[in-house]
Amino acid sequence: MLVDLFSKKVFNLAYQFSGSYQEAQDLTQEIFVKLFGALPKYEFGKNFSAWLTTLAKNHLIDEYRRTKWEKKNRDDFDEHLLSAAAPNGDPEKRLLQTERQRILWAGLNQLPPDIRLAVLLKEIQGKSYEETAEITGVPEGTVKSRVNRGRLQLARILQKSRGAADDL
Amino acid sequence: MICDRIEELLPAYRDGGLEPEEHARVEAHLRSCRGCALLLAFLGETDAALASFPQVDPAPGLRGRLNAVAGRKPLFSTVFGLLRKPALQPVLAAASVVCAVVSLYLLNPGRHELEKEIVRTFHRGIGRVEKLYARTGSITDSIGSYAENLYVSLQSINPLERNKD
Repeated sequence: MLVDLFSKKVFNLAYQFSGSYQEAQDLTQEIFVKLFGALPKYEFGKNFSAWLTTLAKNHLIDEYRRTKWEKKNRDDFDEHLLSAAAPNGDPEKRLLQTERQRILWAGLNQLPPDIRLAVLLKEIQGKSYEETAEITGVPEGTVKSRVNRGRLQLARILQKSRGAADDL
Repeated sequence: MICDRIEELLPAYRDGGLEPEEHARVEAHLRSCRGCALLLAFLGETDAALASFPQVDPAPGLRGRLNAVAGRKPLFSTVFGLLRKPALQPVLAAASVVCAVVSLYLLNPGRHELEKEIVRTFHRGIGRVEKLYARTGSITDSIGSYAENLYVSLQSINPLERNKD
């Protein structure tokens, strides 16, 4: 039941954060092991999704500190992400969007872990500022600041890559 | 310098989260600065690309592995659950007290002195018991001799025999 409801969500958060499909599978399994161990501590009435995402976030940050993923390369924006992209819409626009996403996917590695997580939760997973603050355990103002800094940094990366492409 | 300050405000400007005065200041700057206006456009593209970021399906085997994790009951929790049974609480409490006393005894630095004192006290107690036993024997003898004396005395004051005289 829990696996059916939340495995894809947790896996995607792990994949977007780590950038490695294989690593994300291992991380998801570790997060679920922690989840089943921590279930007796869950207080009924609390937002379960936020509680689980907090648990996942803590594990991802711990693993990041332990292994320092930023030194590793992210997977290419390969068939996993391309096959999952929505197939509808204008093909030319879709191609442009895919190209932007390919650049941003690589650009996520340049964001510090706290900012990367805030951007993933707010901009990609679609959480509100309030939910993101609850998950990350920092005030809403700090979340806004992190998300805005992340967006700006990614926009600069996109601009730079476009400039480099135009120069060619 | 002005551009640096304005760039920092661009995400909030795009979200409509600035105070009216600040909003107007950014707008005025954007009309005259092509660099900042361009960055704002890229910010819009970034937001749109992030919002439609694809969600990937995990490998088919992962769900099975996670379900296996869900079904596994860890040894630790099984043992812990057994120890938490209310019926075992008095036994565990008594065991704790015994353990505490034993550890206090074993870890006591003056343990040998304590042992000697215990042996000494034990022997002293045995000596006292022996003395008491011996004294009890002498009391019995004394009572026997008193009884004999009493008997003789009573015979000597027998009124029938005195009348004969």
